[in-house]
Amino acid sequence: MPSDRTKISNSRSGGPSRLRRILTCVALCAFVLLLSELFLRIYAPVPMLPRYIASAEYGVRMNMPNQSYAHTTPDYEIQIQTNSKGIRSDREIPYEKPNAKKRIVALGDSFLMGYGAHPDEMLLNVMVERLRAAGEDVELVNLAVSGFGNAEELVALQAEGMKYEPDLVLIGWHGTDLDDNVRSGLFDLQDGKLTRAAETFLPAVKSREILFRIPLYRFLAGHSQLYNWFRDKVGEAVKTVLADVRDAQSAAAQAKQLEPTAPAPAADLRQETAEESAEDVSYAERLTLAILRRIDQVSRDGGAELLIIDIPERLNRTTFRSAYPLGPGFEDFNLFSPLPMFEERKGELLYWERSHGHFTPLGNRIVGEGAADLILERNLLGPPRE
Amino acid sequence: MLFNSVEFLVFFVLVYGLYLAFQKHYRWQNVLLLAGSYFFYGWWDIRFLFLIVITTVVDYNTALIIRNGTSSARHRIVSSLYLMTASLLFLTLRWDALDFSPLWIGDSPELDLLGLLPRSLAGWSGFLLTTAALIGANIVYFVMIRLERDVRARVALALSITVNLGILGFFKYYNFFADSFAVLFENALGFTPDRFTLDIVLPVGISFYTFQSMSYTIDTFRRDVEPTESLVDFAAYLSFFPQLVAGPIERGKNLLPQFRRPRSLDWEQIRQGMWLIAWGMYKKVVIADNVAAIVNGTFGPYDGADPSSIVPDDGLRIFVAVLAFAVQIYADFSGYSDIARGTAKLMGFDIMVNFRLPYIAKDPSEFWQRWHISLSTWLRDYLYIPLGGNRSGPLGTYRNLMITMILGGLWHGAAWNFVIWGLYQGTILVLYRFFDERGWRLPDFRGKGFFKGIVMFGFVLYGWLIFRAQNLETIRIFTLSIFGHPHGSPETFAEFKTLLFYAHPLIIFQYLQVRYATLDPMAKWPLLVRVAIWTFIIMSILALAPSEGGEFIYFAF
Repeated sequence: MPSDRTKISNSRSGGPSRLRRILTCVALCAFVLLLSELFLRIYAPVPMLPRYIASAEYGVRMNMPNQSYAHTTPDYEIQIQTNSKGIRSDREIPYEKPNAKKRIVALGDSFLMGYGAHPDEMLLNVMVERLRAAGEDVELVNLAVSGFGNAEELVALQAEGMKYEPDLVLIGWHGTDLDDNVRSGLFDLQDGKLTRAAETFLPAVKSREILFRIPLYRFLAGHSQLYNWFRDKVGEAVKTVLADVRDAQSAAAQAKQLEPTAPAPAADLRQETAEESAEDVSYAERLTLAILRRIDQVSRDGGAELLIIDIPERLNRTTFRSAYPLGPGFEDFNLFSPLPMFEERKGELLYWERSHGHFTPLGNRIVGEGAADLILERNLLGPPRE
Repeated sequence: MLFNSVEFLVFFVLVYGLYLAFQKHYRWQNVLLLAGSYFFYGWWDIRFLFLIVITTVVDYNTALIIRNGTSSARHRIVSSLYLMTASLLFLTLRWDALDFSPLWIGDSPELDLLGLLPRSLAGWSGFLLTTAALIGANIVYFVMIRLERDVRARVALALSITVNLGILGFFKYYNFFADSFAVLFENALGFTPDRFTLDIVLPVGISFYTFQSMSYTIDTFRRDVEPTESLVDFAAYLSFFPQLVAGPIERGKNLLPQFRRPRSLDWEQIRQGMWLIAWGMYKKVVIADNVAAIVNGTFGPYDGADPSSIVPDDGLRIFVAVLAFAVQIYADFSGYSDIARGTAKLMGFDIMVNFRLPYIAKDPSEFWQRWHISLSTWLRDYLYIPLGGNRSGPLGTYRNLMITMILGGLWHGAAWNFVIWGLYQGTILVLYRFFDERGWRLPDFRGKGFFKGIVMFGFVLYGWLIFRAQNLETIRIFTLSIFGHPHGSPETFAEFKTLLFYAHPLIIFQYLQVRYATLDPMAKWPLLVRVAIWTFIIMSILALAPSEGGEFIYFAF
């Protein structure tokens, strides 16, 4: 019996041509890719939620204008359509407010943009319908963009939202906002005062703009589970590595700052470290509070009230929690939290469980109706217009 | 360092790269494997490396004394230096004085070399005690060589076994026996003695390498293995990282000779190695780690010392959890063994098969020929047969079986449920033997083999209930629940569906292994089928493994 080594040498001398070998390799690669796609569809379906994001001229992200694309997940398939200003809507909304109408300008992330919901199921549209049913002639301008934090919301409100002459500004509060506000670097605190620190925050937007011009890429983003799975995995890995590097750098920097001139008891060092990390947390909160106050100020300057909608975090189907800070100053705003209503309905499907955890139609309805009731109760839209 | 971690991947790539670079110098490869294995083990806790070194030095010299009558001055000096260096490196030096973290912020690392040395006498105690122990050991040696050669060999073997079992007993069983004796006194004499339990951490894999080392000296004594003169070869054999922490418990006569000659590598070995690693990893991270959620969801609330004594009214759910545990422990442990074998194969080593489709066994005796083969053969060769095996008459054989299985149970851990598990396994072995000896067998009928397999699997399952329960009360109430309240719920059905979802590829593959009568049926399948299977395995590992993977179950034994 010839050995493996012999077999290999035989195949080299009288075997298939180079071209044939290359073609075989290509065919095998295609076979593997097809099988992988099939595997994911059968064993581990992946949500396909392409984000059509572009850079707005005011330096932050916006939804790509005039797009129509699908979000397909194991839970749902919805169509997303944007108008010429990137608003998720099938109609154009002029800046000028029609007489007798009241306007709500909403800013937030994917929850407010309505991921996981058809247009009539989106919490903001449910809210508007309820307000209309209560006799309010109200119109919605939904400037929410997936991934937005409060810092970007402030920039978008100042540059774009106020042009719509809102009567009520509505923003979503999500658990990631504290970190996002610091990470964006758009604002910082100097002597306790909110200061614009960067003109732009456009993470990976340029590459997206280029990629989404390529038809094949658009097809893969909207139809290939393998591509979406791969992108999510790489994204997660990069985030983990960056977080680890950041932690290591921060630990090293902290250790350097704590270097004692004379030997200090370990307990003292631990105490100091704890105080410093408490200070870090409070910086994120202080910055966020300043941003929210500025949003409130901008809204009031334009004659609008501000309402914050708290998006609770889902721990499991029966446990939710609010990430809205409890620190001083945060209670000054009009806040709507659906947490008590969620508690009443716990056990029901309020969040999609296989699709990045956005609200189901039921979750959207509870939040939308609750927010509308609060707006009516507190008369946040003001008196009826002539 | 876990096989299913990024650290291991980096470690293995580096070690393997160097290993291939030294392909023409197998002795350098042995040095590399020794250093790599110590690094691999020291990743958990560097101090416990010293225990491996003690076992290495003791059994290396013991084997030489048994075979040659003496350990030469050169061997003793090399051993002494090795032990003292280990004591310095693993017990004495304060490695935390080397701080590389400033590199993260662009500063130079803090390498306070003088800071490595302990500042107090207590810090040097390990080194001083090692020196004293070495002096003591040399005195014992000089006393011993005055004995008759045969007696000397016996004394040396006895001393080696005492040291090995002493270390194992102290680290693994001290607290168990201290607690159990206290309870015994309390119950028998009516007073509560002070409990001298210690805060002891169990060194990972100590049961495995201790048994491996003991088999080497005993085999040398029995002239089944030729002892090595090279301390590096023996140390590398004993600490060989693929199988160091959870076996297979290799025999000197199989593995040691492979360290004493150049290893060759061919494509077939690499193919087998890669497949074993992938398949083992699949079993561990996809099957065992996912199925663990079902097991822990049911057993978890009853873990600990003071569980509820209310009999659960959903016995079917308990049954599904036990079934899940049968899948988990098999996938976890045989997965580890496969990765160990595969890793070794990539380096040209051939280590023993530890599992041969155990759940198709038709009787208890066959089960133990298929489950954890390296332990069951160890117990057979070094415990059951020396006790008299089946040469002591029926009652003697039963006694030997019971002793072997109870000690085998206790090997798994210092807890009463393992003792009961051993007792249970011993009982079904004895009963099987009892019936078999009297010719009390089932009449022949179609599907008899399958029927016997199902019955045996039922016995195995009950054994796993005893094994997984962390206390006697849980064994009691779960038994009553399964047999007294066999009711389920939609959650039970959902858990069973989850179990099937993760376990069905394993069941199908094992069916094919039986069908083709080989553990590696893929070897003869067409390329496209093999590519499809590889794609399935890789994608499963990448897409279905839970983000928080668990340790291997047998690390705790």
